[in-house]
Amino acid sequence: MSKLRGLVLATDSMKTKIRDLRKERRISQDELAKAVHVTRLTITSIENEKYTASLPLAYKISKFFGLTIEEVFDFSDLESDEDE
Amino acid sequence: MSKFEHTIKKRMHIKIVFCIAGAVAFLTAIILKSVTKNNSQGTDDFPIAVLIGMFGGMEAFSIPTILSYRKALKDKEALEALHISETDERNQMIEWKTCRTCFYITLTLLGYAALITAFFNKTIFFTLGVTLILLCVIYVTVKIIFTRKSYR
Repeated sequence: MSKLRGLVLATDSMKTKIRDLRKERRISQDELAKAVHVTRLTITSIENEKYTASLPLAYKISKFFGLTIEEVFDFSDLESDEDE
Repeated sequence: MSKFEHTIKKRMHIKIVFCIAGAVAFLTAIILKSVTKNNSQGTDDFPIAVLIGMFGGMEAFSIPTILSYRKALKDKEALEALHISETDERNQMIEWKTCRTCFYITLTLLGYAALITAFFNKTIFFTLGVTLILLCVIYVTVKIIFTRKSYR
């Protein structure tokens, strides 16, 4: 739960595995964007770490790939902040 | 999606009504201008020019929006694209940040303008001052409303 709280409260952009997952499954940004009901620019911004997805969006993206949020989004930066 | 469709239809109808009202005001202003031009007494045509510019601008702004709504209502894909662009969280965040930044910039510039005009013209100073106070009051009121509102 603390990881998810970090996702909601994080103001810094977060690393994700979305691009790799998309390429593995041969899915375009446009297809992913339509599936999770956002614009393609939002997906691009998330992949380029210029925007942090909200909790509902992160959940939708993870569900689309059939994975958990932790498997799609990289929380290692948040965990290193907690350790400090 | 049908709820959004109803919203778009309503918005389009409201915009069309405002467009027609604006066009009527625009034409009235042009007719008034041509009538006062022929008038031997001569009147100040600055307010008429402001009306023409304002309503002309409003029409120029409203017509493309009405056309895009019409397209969205005819085409399901266009409607979905419009729905996505309006509900996209990043777009909403950009809109929110833009409004917030513009508000603070406007407030600051109004304040400076009021200070400077205090040396030259009392009427302008009081107009700007009242506008500034009104903006602050509206801001505080809306903030209180949103603080008490529940977000689900």
